Amino acid sequence: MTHNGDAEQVLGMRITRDRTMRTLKLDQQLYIERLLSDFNATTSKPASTPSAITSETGASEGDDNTTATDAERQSYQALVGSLQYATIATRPDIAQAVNFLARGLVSPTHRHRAAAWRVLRYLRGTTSLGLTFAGTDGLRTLVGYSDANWAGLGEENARSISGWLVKVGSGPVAWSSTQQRMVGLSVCESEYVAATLATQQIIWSRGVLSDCGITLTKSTPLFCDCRSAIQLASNQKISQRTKHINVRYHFIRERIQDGTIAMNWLRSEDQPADALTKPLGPHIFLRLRPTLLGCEDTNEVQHSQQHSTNI
Amino acid sequence: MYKIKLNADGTPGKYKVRLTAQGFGQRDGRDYHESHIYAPVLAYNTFRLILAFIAAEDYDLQHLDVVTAFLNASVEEDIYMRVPEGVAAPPGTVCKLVKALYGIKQAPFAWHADIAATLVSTLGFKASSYDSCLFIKRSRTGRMLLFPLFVDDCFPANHIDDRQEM
Repeated sequence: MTHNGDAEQVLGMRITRDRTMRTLKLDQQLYIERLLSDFNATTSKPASTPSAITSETGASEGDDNTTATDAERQSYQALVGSLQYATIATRPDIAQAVNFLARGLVSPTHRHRAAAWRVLRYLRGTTSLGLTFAGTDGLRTLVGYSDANWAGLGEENARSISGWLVKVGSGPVAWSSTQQRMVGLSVCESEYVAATLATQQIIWSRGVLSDCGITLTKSTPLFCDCRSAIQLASNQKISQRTKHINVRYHFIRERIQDGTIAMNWLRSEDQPADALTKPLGPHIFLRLRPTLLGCEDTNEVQHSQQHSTNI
Repeated sequence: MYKIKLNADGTPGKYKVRLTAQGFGQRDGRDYHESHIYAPVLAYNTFRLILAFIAAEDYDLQHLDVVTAFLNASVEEDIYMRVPEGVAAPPGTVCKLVKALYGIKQAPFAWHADIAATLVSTLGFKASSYDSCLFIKRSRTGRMLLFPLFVDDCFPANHIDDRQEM
């Protein structure tokens, strides 16, 4: 057994601690720099957001649907795999973009490859971004956010995209951006499904914390920007319009009743999970990003922005 | 299997040699059980939750790397292999594995079972019911000692007052 002292590197992630300020930062700068050089993007022009609002990921206009060659497909698959590791480990800010890329793994189109290049350009300007955990927030501040992009604008199969984020205080511990398993008939239904997924993660997080000796007695707030979904979850009634919803998603009702979670409304502009469901413009994206990554210290973000514009 | 580790300047550094078994020759039911080839790994969500915990409680976080982890694991099945090249042995001799080798199918499973057993039976830890790669123990000061495990990388975490116990 080798004792390597204080943990600084964990599976390609770097841990930086400031014990007087009680902050812990987790990033993958070296991993991302290597990724950029492996995919010849070290001199690309930095982009301010990971996905373009229309053309690249939006409607399929201009998508020539030409089949990629085997070599192109393999290189695309390798790139998406590498991006997925960053997404899973430290980068919720690219989760939505990478989820889109992953749906093109089998037969990437020109649109997918353009979107992949866009993610690389975004990373090029933000290599040092990562997660920040502020210890001073305490551990009893578990909080969840959920959102959905109904009928996933521009998705061929009209399925909605669920996005959710679970944080301890300002520090993000879990997140996801996934296509829903069925077509939602309404915005409310899609939001309801996303909220149920977030609830599952909250219950699990409360469990791990309780194993660590922190028992949460209060309900964990779950923020959602859709009032009708909150109504649906808090209400036991089955109406004509909601009777088709699969019973598995009504799981959230019981958890609200037993006090595990409490649903709260939050306006869309402040909803970090919004960035996990659809491409956003630079203005909204850059405003939500600090909440997504937990870096309340915006200097760092500005610094990396300046850095990217100077190049 | 040979691997030459290069120094930073590109000159050959240390020569690394590792004996590996040819796991692809193993047959299910005879040399391994299908259910015994996977080992759990720590979830990233668990790891980040622990990092939040460490930051909030101002815990120490260490890094322990178990050298040649898989070679420490004992194997239940009887596995025989050809005598490696360069070892003097009478003709017709085969080797029986006492411990796992890199390359055999059950190595990760056997290693996880061994280290979990040591943490639980010998050191008094308990595996979390939410993640089987997170081990927890209450210290004498009443705080929690955490022991998350990424295969052979361990990240023991403890409060400053519990340093002797970790």
